Amino acid sequence: MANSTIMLAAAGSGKTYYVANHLDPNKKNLVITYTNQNVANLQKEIIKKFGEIPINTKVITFSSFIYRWLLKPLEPILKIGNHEGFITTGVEVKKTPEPQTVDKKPNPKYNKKVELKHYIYFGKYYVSRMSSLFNDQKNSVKKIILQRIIKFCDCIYFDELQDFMDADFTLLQYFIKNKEIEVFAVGDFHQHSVSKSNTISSKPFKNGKRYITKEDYINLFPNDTVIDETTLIKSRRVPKEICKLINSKLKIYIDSISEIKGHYDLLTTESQIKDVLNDTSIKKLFYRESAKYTCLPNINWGYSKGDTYKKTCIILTSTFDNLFEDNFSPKKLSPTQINTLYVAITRATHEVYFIKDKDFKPLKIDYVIKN
Amino acid sequence: MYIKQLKIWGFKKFETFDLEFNEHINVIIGENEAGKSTILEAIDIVLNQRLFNNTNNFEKYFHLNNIEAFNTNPILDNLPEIKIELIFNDETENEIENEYFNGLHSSYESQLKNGITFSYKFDQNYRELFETTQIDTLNENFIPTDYYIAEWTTFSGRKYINKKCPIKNVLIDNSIRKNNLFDSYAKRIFNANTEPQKRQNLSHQFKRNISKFILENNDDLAIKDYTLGIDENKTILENLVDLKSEGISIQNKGKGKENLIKTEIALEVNSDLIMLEEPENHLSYVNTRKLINDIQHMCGQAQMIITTHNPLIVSRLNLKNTLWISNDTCHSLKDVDDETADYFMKTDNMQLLNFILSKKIILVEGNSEYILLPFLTKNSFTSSLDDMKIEILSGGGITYKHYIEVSKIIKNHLLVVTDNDGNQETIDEIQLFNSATFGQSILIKCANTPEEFTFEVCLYNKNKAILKEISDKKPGTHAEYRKQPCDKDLAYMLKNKTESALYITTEGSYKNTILPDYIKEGIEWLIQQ
Repeated sequence: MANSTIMLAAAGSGKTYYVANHLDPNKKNLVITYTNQNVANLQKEIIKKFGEIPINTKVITFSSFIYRWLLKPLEPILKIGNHEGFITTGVEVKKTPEPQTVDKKPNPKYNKKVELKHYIYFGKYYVSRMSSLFNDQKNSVKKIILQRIIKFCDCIYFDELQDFMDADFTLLQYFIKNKEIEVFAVGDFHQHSVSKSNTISSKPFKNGKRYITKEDYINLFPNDTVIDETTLIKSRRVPKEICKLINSKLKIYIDSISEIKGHYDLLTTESQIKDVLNDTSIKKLFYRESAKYTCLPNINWGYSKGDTYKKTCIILTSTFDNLFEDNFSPKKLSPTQINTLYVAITRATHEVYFIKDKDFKPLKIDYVIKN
Repeated sequence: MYIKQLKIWGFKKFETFDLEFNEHINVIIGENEAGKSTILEAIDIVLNQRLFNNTNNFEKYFHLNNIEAFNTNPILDNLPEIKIELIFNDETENEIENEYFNGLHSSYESQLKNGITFSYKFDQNYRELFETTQIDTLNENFIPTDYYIAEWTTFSGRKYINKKCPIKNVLIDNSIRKNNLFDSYAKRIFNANTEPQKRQNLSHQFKRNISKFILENNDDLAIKDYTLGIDENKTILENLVDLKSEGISIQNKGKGKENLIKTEIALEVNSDLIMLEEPENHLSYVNTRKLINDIQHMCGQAQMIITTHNPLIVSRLNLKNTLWISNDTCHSLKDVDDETADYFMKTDNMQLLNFILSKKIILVEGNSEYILLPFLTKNSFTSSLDDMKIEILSGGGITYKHYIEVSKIIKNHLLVVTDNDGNQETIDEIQLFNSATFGQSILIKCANTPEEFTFEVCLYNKNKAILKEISDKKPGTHAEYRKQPCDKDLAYMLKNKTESALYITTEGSYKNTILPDYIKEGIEWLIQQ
């Protein structure tokens, strides 16, 4: 019997390093993360530690976990409505299923949950609906799926905990609740609702119209879950001075163990701004549509999640133009807005430059790609 | 991991077939054409993806009934199919990698099992094409194997590729049938015994040296405007390797030696599974024993599957490891009791295989019964033992009790013909045995009175008129046996059992000799079975 552990970490605190060093090579470990990039990062870190991937450790993406471990092997007993015995040939990642509503109106093309087409497109599962297919199975079926996992796996690591939303989150809860398998989930609560694909934030982080707090979030897990908020609270990446800025302005607690002095600067004069924008050693972070701009290298705030750069320049949105003024308060802003900026600020190991929206606007024309 | 079970549908001889393997040694026996090598072939196809990975015509692999069913009603749904399931053990060794083999995609339906399924069937993607345009082809009773697909799937529902083979295996085929595949054997050993990296390096060095050779001999290889090159397809190292022993290719060492060496090498290679097809071929008695000794001492933890016609291999590798294939069914002899298995293991019994393979058997005690019974049966009944498909075996000193133990397991019909040795207790015991096993497949027969203490006495009593003066064969025969007075002719028979038996079968005046009653009754029983 194993209790599950939830580890809440700060940005740049070395989650990947921690997972690689925490896992026991004598156990059978399944390490699950969202992107192929993170699979590669985790594998690299594990190889650094053990010289190779231990024989009984596997790093896979969340979607292959659902397909290969939860759905495919048990397909003969899965049910969709009254349908049984469907055989799929893989996962559909390019096509998105018809949503239930379009512009808040019912979508006539939507296929209900009891129809095969809700989950399956030409013999392949829609990647976005695999979790809910698992969740919707009878308890007895889920038990068999679990028994199978237990047979081959002692410990499951879930990376990027904060990215588990909606059906993915329900699935995660199911595993954390289960006592027969050791689950270790790690993530940064303050990076929730910041997705690379810019989807609108939802359950569990939003309850109706209200965003939940970190405490609310912790309470979503069973009482006996071990909640660790201290081990990974110190950022190895983000310098002290920048942590202080985040603490005071965004009211997000983050501490630093970086030995680099680091500093941040608000650029105000046109020449300062131009120098930085033209400097190719500085990564420019735009709120959105970074591809529109000629100043390279650049990226969207949300897309920078998980990345590390030496120097960054953040082009603020009008919402944050008063960030450096005393009257700035995050209270009226949504966690989506705050968390996205938090992600952007926590990317740099050395220097962060800020440009106000109102200062960038007059220069914008020079930096937009002309057709 | 080891192979726990093999299931076959519609492949060659087997319409449906199911076989459970032992973890270590498996000795497969059966009549010719029972399908022993088909079993090894099936394993090879599933594990190593041999055979069905090209576009050859595989029509000959379908089961005849399935072809017949299609010919009778040539529609798509009746097209013959082949399915082979290989089930691995699942009690232990649940390494995370093995998850790839575990799931519900098998004939077990709701039970999670480890394994691989091979199927060869009509590709449903062509259904529409056939239903709209090509129906005529089907009517010609022609199986459209060009539109067939061979698929390997693990029980987890994923595609299987032999690179992920969980069981390192080697198949050694010593049968006369396929002996020309020698090069492929050397290749298998090369591949199984050399690490992939080393193999790559060897192959690379080989090619480099060939190109070096061409470069150095450029001038000599030129013919007018052309140059002679080397055919790259013919210079693949693994296709050229040859096994040598003491500098001589083992192909040139005589078939017997060749087999021995091949088997020894297979045993030395670090395999999880060793498949040996008729390893006794071309081997003398002494070498067969050497081979068995090697198998016993060198196979280690590996699983062995051996097909054989050799009784020594069967008895020496423990009768309990025998899997007997008959009528498309596999019978395991694992339930034979230890004492009996041990007994046969120690006695090098040459008749054991015959005993297992025969359906109706008469087991006799001595040589004279063995010689005379076929002859006497023909006289007492209208047909011969051969006609009635009854096998006669001489116990050769082994007490019949051990045969009875085996017979109980394999469920053949066994008539034991024995002497009462003048002992009323023996008669009673036998009667007790028969009434206890009444209606079963074993019957023991002896003469009913202690006075008729042995076969010759019964034979003489039954045929007194014919056998009178048989003692003339040996003048001077005294009318006594074991210091007791007895008829002179009988005394001759008792003192010269084998000689008199042969004499009766060859001398015209005895041609009407018939069976003693207890044996006749026994054979009547056997006929009715």
